Amino acid sequence: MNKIGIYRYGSCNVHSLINALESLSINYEIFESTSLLKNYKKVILPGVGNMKVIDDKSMKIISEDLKIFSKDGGLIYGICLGLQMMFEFSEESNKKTLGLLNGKTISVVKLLSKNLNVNFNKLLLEDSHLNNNFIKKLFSNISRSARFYFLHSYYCKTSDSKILQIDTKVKENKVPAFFIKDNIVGSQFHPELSGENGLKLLKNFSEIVI
Amino acid sequence: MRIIARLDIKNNILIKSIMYDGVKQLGDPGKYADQYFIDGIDELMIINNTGSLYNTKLDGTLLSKIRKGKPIPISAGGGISSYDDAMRLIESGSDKIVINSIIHKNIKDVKKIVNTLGASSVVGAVQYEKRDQSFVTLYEMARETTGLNLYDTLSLYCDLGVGEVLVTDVKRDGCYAGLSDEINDEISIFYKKMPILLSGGFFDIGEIKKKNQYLSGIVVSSSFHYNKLNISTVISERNKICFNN
Repeated sequence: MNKIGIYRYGSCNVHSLINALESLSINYEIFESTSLLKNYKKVILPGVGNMKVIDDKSMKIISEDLKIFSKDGGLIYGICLGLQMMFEFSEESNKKTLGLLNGKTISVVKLLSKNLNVNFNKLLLEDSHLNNNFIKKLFSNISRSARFYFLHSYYCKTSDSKILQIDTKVKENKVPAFFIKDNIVGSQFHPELSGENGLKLLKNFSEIVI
Repeated sequence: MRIIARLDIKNNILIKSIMYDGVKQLGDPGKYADQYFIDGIDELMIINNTGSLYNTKLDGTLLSKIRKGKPIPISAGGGISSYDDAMRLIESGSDKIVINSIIHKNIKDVKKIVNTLGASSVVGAVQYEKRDQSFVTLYEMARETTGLNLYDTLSLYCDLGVGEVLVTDVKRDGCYAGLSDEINDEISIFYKKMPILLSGGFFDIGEIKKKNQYLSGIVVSSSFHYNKLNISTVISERNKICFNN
């Protein structure tokens, strides 16, 4: 029951995440059906792939199962595509997505003019963010100047005031980088590819007691 | 700007060419990759350099071994001629795949790769050479011409939905001649549209400052393999220039 569940959906790439968890000796298990969610308290939706790989019927089932899991107190952490999937609509697939968070994913071209945001960026983490107990624990022992690896062609946009958002800055543009609402969290960046800082974040995530 | 170390592999041995010719064997790629990671490299690029030329594939076991214990991005390619080849590299632990020849031979599978992995996980490689006043693009270890110029090849990658592009000046490969400036006018439009990585000849740390405004990354092999440049020093200098710390 203490294992973190890694939900492998479609053809998403889980290898780097597993590599990072193993280097931290974090107990994990990969599962491929959300009917197995009951075996876990914390799950990660990994983030490499294309939204189009999940068909409508599967998306609906995954959504219903994750909503029950979350309502029962389960903690969900979405990484990159895993985060984007948790919103209501994707411009990438032009379809409804999981709908765990209010908002949608939009092409970064509209924000940055480029097709892709790829770099190591700093989070605009403020003192007020650390009033959130979960954020405080997740970013514990991580410097404010820490950089995380971003690699995405879509970004998430929400107007839900109940969702707490932390941005990063790309040139002069603010890009949403982290979201949290109750026990649903997500990062646009990849902690598993962010060196020591990313490993610290994953370690902190594994140690959060729910 | 990212600093990426490129490791060219042939028969599981690290190799290095000069102008895509005269390949020299350097040793165990795993040892080089381990050291580059310890030294603080941003990303690793593992390329089966003669893959398309001799129809060989990158060894998945070697890639998995390199992946182990390195929480940084790793891209892999060389000899990807099908969707299955690309997926094999992902299954072996690569975060991104690097393609080149396949876009001239099997467009259908390129589209399938991009649709499955997403644009962000696909890097398009371009080898080019200046001939007369034109930038001619090449493949199969710069042995064959694609029939396209540099601008058209980058346009093709754009149209295929590839995330970023690696541009290599064949005549500067392994020559410590400095990165190319001559293509800037030709491809300036792409600097604004997509992340461009440049390789071939990097030797002077000062180039990071000069090219930081338009390049997304520099890909380096010889200067690191032969200890002409120290990775820790390059990263530290990059941090000062690009990150103000």
